[in-house]
Amino acid sequence: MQRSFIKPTIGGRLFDAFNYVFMVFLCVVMIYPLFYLAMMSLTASDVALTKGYLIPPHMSLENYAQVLGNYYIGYGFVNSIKRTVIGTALSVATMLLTAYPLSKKYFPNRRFWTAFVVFTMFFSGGMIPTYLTYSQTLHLDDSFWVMILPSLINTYNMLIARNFFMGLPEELSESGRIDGAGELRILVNIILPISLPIIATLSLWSAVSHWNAWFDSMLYFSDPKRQVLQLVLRRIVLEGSDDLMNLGGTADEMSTINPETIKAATTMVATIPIVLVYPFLQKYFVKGMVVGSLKG
Amino acid sequence: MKRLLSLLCVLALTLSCACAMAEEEERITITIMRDYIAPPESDGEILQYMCDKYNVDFEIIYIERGNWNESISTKFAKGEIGDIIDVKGLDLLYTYVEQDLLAELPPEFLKENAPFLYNEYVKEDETHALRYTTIDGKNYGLPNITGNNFHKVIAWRGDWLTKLGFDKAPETLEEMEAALYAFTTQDPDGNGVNDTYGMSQTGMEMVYGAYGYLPDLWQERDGKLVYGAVQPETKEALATLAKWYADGVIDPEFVTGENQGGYYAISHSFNNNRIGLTCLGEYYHWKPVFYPGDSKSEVYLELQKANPEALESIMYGIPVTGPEGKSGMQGSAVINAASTVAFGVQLEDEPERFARILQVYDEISSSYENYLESIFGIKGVHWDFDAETGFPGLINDNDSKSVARLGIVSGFECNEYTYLRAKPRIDWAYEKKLDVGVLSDQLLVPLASAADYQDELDKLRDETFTKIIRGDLPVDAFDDFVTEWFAKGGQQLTDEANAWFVTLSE
Amino acid sequence: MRARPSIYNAKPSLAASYWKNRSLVALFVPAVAFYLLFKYLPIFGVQIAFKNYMFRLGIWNSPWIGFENFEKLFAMDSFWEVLSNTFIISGLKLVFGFPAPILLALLLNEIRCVRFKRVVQTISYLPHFLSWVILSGIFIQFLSPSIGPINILIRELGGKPIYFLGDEHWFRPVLIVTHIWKSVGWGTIVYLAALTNINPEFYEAAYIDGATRWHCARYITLPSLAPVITIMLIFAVGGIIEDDFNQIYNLYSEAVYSVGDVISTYTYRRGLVKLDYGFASAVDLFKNVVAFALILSANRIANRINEYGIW
Repeated sequence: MQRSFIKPTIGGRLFDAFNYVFMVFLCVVMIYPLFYLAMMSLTASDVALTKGYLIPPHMSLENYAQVLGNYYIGYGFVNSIKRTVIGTALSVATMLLTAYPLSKKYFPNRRFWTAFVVFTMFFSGGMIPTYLTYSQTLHLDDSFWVMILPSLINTYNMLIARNFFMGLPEELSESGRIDGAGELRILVNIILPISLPIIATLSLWSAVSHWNAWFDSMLYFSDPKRQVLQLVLRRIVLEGSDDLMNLGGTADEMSTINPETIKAATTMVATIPIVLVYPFLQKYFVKGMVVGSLKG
Repeated sequence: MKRLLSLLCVLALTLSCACAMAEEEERITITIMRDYIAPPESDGEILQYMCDKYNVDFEIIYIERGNWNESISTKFAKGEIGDIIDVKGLDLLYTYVEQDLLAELPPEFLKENAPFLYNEYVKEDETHALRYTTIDGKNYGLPNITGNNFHKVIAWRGDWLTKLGFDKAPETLEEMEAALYAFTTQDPDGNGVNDTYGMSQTGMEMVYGAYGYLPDLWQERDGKLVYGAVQPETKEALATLAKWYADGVIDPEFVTGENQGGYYAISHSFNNNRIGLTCLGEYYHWKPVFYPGDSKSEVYLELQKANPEALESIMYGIPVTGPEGKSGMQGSAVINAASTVAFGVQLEDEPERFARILQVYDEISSSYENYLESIFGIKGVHWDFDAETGFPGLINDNDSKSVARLGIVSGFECNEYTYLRAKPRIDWAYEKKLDVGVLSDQLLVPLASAADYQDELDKLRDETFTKIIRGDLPVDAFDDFVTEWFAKGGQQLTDEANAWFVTLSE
Repeated sequence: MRARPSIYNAKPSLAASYWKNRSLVALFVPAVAFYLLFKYLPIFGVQIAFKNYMFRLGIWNSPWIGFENFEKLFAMDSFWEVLSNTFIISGLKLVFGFPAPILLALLLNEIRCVRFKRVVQTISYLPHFLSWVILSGIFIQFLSPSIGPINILIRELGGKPIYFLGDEHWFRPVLIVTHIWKSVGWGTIVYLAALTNINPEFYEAAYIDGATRWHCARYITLPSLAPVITIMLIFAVGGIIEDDFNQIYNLYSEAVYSVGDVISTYTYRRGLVKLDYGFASAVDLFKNVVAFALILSANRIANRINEYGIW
């Protein structure tokens, strides 16, 4: 918000002070669990875990060494990055292409198509029919594209983008139309440049969704080298939890356990990369893009 | 002469071709849907070795451990049914049979093709272990028979006991009461603060057992099966516990349990000097590390780090005897129903292949070394007998994950091997008398109505017992509980249990 | 509705309007293909809600059992209890949790120091990424009656420790608060994106007319967020029948079943859905029909107020 013209009032100043204090409090509250996890992940293995520590007496990177030393972790990273980059790009593009027509009141059968799209948010075949359709009818079993195509459009997110487009002034597209441009050109040259915030939002949502996905990878791929990172990490965490497995006799008694410290390190490895993505997208949440193009 | 020679050559050639063909025809495929701790690679070294050694093509279909049901369901839905399938629970066995996924395994067929395994499962009486996997008179699999029947560890703070004038772990209920009261009132950790309690949640089982019946077991009484929670003796146990709670001997936070996160078998309350008695954890959690590479011992290791004095002074007890001389705690059961093995229904149409599969597994399981190979890998490469102790262990930096990855094909373990492999820890358990006073669930099969009632009845029981112990309800509320329990499905369950029990003696 | 420019006044036939707007329609074609292949094709599987699904018979050949699965669902002893729990918990999350990200977005918007704002934003997103499996462990310790900081504080102040996760009166508030804590930061993203589109000239004009910051927020900022808020609200209302299985499953215990047990936790615990995909499908269908009905109603109400509903 442009503030150069605002005269500071006492009420305003008080509010600002309160706001800043509140934000600091918020940060402390929100960051505590991550801090706790970070400390846990850095705890050396000779520290007793039953005693609670804020900062562990002995720190070490051995947990990370163990997680990152897992045989499949490299494959996991590569597969996840590949999937996230390609998936997000295609997904965002498709969602924008879909949201734009739906946002125009003159789109033929607009209500019908909206219903067509919304209906799928509620009614779906369920895990097994979906699995059978994708793997057998569409022959996507064991194919890289099974991680990308089925999630190409997230209807919920797409509709939010649609509403975003609906909130843009009609004059923008008008000017393009008067110049004789087709819809695609209007979309790409006029609308998108000022829609960077919503594009960034869609990208963020899509990227996080791809990064965190593991269930499809588990269902459709049997080769462990093709699994995504989250699944590799999930397996590390579950590797030793014998409360999960009702293994009997000495099979159970022979399995090694991964302690809490490993679980914490795993979470950190899973979370930090995607958290670092946000700063790069921040610059797209910039003011005044609509205004600029109107004036121009 | 030349003609005879060439005729002989042709004959020899044909014969060898026929043999070769016959041998090739014999090489069958066995698809395996079993639990692997890490996904096996299809060209794994150990897998190849096993294929060559037994002259079959083992094919492993990996099922995701953390999502076992979903993972295996999608395979079934696709039409992929393994030849050998891990069944994680008897209720699942019933479901699989209902869904027509499993092949019947008649005991005679087993005897014919896998005599060694047959002898393991069918010991003294005719259908010993196979009773568990018999549904409607037909057998559908092989249960896991290698559990040791030990109850959970009974660990007393020996240093506290000695300090307060007791020279051994309590053996009777009165001695237990005296010790617990002393823990509470006489500041055994010597810190001048009244912050210790006698026991918490896990110590309660012994108390029930001292009166004869455990709240979640079906036990025999006068020739019939009865449920422990509704026996009159349980009321007496509750009265004792309520009294102890009122006197401050039981940790008020027992409801949340002694473990506060992290590895489930560790008792934070015990480690942090809050209570003096704990029964959390099995023998393999508490045992020391006997040799390099010895696994488990989680509680032992944690206690070593957190509270070494406690660890050194632990006195292991036995389930205390009550006024009528009874005692008991639940044993871990010799038959582990949760890891049954079954065979895919397609084998019913392929009896030769089914027979061959049984033969192969019989071979794998019938010798100690073969069995070890099947779970550890190639001798000398992945595992070997330790030079000093003679125990088999993984070598060359291998662990259970790495060998799983290379494609082990586990056989069936019999009791003898269990003992051979784990001798030190099993001996330790016997030494600590963990086989004394074991009570077992006499009900060996899931009941038809259990799915409908068990959950609610358990909830009723837990809520009522907790309230009685905490004093929120008087002990006499027990009688109302019993009536309610029978009315809300308990009667149905009891009838079904006894209907089955009767068949045992037939 | 605004008056249209004259070129749109004529009402052409359907085919003609498709042809006339062909460049727009062309953009939509990939979406149609997507939905047909990946959403509508598997929908035939919904029939298993009315069948006794047997793996070996497949979806088409499994026997029809009509509404039996649904009868089984409604006949569960605790059905009404878990259904009402689901509604109550989700309703409370809606009332308290829906406005929270909006308020936070507005507050963030008022921060002038860009660096500080970015730091706060990033930190506020962090809880979103932690799974409930991890978070529950942390919360259980945090809220523990004996060693948790909150109860230590209560005790210092002379009060009696509260067993938050084991007390029927406190469990739901804990669910709401932890839910807000986890999701509020991430939830601001979409609102912050929408805020960038507000023309600063409006604010300038308002100030010149003597408006306070509060007036600006109320009469400029909020209404500008109307399109986004509307659709988010409609979705949120539709989601009342949903429950956060992961959150509740990891935090609840027998002591709080009566207030915290919801449809998904109950069916999961009872193993009802373990291999019974017909039943699982029926539960999903039931929930989805309710959600759909809720969304239609919410949409109708929204359309009366502004035109940013789904339809």
